Amino acid sequence: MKRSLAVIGIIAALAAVFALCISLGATFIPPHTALAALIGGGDSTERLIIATLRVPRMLMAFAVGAALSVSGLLYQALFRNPLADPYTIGTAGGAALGATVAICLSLGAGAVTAAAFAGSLAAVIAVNALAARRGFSSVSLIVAGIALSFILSSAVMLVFSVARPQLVHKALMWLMGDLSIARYALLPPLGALVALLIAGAMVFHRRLDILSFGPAFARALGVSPAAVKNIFWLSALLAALAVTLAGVIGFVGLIVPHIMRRSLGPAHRLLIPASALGGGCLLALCDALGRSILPLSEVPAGVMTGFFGGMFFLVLFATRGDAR
Amino acid sequence: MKHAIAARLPLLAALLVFGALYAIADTGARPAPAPRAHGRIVSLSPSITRQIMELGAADAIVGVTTYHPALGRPVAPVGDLSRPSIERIVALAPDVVMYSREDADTQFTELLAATGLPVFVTGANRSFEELCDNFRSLGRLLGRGAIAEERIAAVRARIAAIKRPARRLRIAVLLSHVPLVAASGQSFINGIIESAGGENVFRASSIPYPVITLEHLVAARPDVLISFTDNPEPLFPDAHGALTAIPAVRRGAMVTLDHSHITQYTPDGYADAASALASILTSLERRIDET
Repeated sequence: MKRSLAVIGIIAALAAVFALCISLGATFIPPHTALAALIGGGDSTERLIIATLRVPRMLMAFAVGAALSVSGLLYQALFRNPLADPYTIGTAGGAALGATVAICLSLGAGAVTAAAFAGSLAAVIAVNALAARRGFSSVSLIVAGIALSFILSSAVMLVFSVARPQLVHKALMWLMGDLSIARYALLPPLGALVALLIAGAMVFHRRLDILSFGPAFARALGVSPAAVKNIFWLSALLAALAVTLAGVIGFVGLIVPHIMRRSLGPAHRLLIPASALGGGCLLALCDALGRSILPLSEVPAGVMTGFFGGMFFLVLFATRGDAR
Repeated sequence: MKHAIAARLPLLAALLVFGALYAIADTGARPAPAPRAHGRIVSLSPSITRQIMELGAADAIVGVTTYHPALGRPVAPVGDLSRPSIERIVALAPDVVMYSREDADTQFTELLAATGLPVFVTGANRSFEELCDNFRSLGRLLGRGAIAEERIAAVRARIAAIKRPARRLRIAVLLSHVPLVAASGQSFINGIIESAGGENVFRASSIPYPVITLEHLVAARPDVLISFTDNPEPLFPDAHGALTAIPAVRRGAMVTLDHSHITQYTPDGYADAASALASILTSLERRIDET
């Protein structure tokens, strides 16, 4: 009974998010009109706006949000650090440098995507290699990631200092989180990859539970270094995929796992799918709001998530009883 | 199990690369349908809006972006120049959406292509000749090719008749003081400087608008400093003491102009800017000779 209610609640929440996301945009289209347009009714302009522009963007935001959220959840468990997020190990810095170089060389959107992915993957490989020299501990991964992020961030600034102003502006828009690449053709491979990686994370749910008690305890209970490394790579690839396609979108990977952990407890068997759904819904909603709150402009999704994420942490900070 | 997953990690990476490559293939969007000559126009670039007005076809404009010139009637804005709303454009049901390649860097035009709307893209305006080519192609599309040719011929005559200074003054044009941003030989402004009878001291830079330092400015030794900025920081007054090695500073040959002088991107706008600059150079030349 309890499980049925939970399933009904989740389906209702997803339906509400879907209705809101296809209704919000430069012009508000009531949910019933938007749904009618989606199944072929309404006028051709509404059909074009809903079916060609809003739906693929909402689905991409959902997939990217899910990837970021699960990535953040895995890192928080792996590092036993509640402030770890998908970008802790320099994934965003590498993608940012790759995308910035490609944009400032006036390359096409596809090349920007490929360069961002290559940069992201290169950063993960570098952090992996650096941390391996120090026993692949949480501290070594975090330190290597932060140091690399500073270097990559300086390199981005260097590119900005010599690039054309229009291109710098475009790169900045990418850095703020940009879901405008959304296309139907992109969704099957993106969805399949995110689902595959999240399924991979589910394989490790028991080991993630044990890891939260500390590395020594985890080793004693049979969590091998290889499993830790695999979790690291699953998380890194989820973050790389998200940042490659949507730019740097902060806070989703930080706040959603927090909310889910507080609501559902520490068991990763529930936390992983819940974080995926929560992250997807949050980013889809933030993106829809960003497209609709200013009359003539679009607020980048990364700005929206950063604003709401920051507010969430401030509220948490102000209302939590203990000061730990 | 562990080994099986470890062995599959490279496969996952390869799949991710595939995803990225898929995106590459996807962005080669289907070709947009050919724009119709007469109909409803959404102009995303203020330069094109001005050119349409000069060609006498402003009535066809149904949508513009911010910073558009006054059209004498309310026209629906579709967003700002750097990020127009594709949804607003679609809602206007235009026969053609126009933009300049110069603005396309920031206009996310890939998404526009996905909507299937007809688009007309003009090239960058890096020189007077490029500007004329763009004006001609726009005129042909609007069925006003003859008007475009007439205007270009008239502007060429205007430029030829400009009264230039007796000698080629060395000019530095600054678009910003903090940081110092100059116009180079790759910029549209360079053509205006040359048409006005000047010589751009930063013409050799490969970047259209390079960020320079005071050292570059001192080394370039311009005879005239022209600053196109709406909000000039007090560089020139403060520089009197420290930068007297610059001939322009020593002789007080420094002018601040409103940037609207250089951003018209129409043949007439180009001639206006060249005439205004030539007039300034001529009067500065007299002052320089007197000192």
